[in-house]
Amino acid sequence: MDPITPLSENDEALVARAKRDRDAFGQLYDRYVDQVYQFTYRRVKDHTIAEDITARVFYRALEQLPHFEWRGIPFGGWLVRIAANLIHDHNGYAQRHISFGDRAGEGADMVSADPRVEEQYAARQTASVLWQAVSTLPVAEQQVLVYRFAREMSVREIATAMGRTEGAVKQLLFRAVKRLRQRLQHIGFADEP
Amino acid sequence: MNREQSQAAAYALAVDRLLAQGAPPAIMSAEKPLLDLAYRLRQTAPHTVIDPRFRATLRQRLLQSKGLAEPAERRYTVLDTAVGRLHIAYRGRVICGVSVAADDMTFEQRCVARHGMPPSRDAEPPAWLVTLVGNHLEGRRAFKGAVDLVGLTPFQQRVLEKIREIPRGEVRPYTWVAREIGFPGAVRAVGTALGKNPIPLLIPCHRVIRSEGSLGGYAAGGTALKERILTLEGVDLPELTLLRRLGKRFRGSRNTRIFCLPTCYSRKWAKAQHTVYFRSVHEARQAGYRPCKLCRPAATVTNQRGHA
Repeated sequence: MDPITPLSENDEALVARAKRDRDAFGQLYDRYVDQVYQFTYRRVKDHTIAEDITARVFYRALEQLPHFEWRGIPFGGWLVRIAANLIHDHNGYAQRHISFGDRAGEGADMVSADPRVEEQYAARQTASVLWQAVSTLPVAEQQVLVYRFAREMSVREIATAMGRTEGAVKQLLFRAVKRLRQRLQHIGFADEP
Repeated sequence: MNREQSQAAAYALAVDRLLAQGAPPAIMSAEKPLLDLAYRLRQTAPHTVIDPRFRATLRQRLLQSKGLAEPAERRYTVLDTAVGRLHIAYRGRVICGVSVAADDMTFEQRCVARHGMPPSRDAEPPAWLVTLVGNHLEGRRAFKGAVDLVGLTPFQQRVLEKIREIPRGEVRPYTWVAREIGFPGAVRAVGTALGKNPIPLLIPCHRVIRSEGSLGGYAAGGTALKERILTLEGVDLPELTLLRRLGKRFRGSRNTRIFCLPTCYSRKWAKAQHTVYFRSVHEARQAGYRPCKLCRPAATVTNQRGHA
């Protein structure tokens, strides 16, 4: 579990409420969009396609929600199944199987490979805290951090993607890191190794 | 170019170099905390991460689509209670905000600041709300229903969810909350979160006081109000004041060899002749006492420094 998820309603109650309350659907979205996106991206390996499929997953979920019955299957699993179907449609029947080569990289997404399990766990924890904190920043700042550090885009590429000048991007990046540091200090994590 | 711009430009260059060559050890120095942080971001970046802009726009588009029912309208009403006049906003049966001793204008402004829209006023409070608030304030049934904590950070939401567990008639220190939610160092942040409590009284942020026994502040209406609410709930404030003067923070029982926070539920059974007081967790442990399992006055693993 990531360390800063609030203790809150369980999925079953939330799904029941989402059928008539849009805030509840928003909460479900917040809870699962990352998972769905990561699942999709790992399979299609393209951010544009992954975004398209993620959007369609949630539209379909919205459509199907009134028919969704709680049978003890996790809601996330249901979404992922929709995603899997859509990926399948997208690929036609071309992608018959996912090779092990493709999947070998999955575990390495969060941390660099490290033989010692404990260290790896600690690194994973740090990563989780760090990127959780990123998600509390203003959207533009989140975006610049993701583009720069996760997608390794150059300042110029980011400037084009965000429709800003390079100077503005540099400044945004600087502010984002500065604010992130403040947030981390605020929750007492800046000094962690 | 102003100072921040040039700083930002130099920073971007440094990050470029860092991305190009991996990790030169000098970067981990404490003099360059921002670069150090950038390095860690780089190290931990999940390549599968979603574009935050896309995430936000998709959410908005989904919630505006026709498939979803309109949310119940946000309304508010006024209730006169033992602790004063309460303004309460709700949407359906979800409580969205409470103000003590406010007037309609300021309350509506507060709601606008939080939700963007002024709630409309119910002249008569709905019966379920009267029952709910009455039961909660008079101690018949603590409020456990849904609350709207929109606009707070996950950390702050977690603090507020945690303190809903503190029973009526008891108080807990800020440090206790910080430790219970797994951020023992974030005592100040806990204070901030409580100060931002949009639903005072129903989320009992007044039940959190300072470790040494003084009340601490109360954003919802000042320390005097905090004192009044706690007295109404049956907290023995004179006793807390006395303990604070004596510098005692924990109460133990010679019979059970257990130590508690002074207001722990177990005080019901405590007899004066068996009661001992301690200044610190360390002192209590030295004397061979273990922490109470109800009020959890200390971390279960021995805290070497002996602080609560």
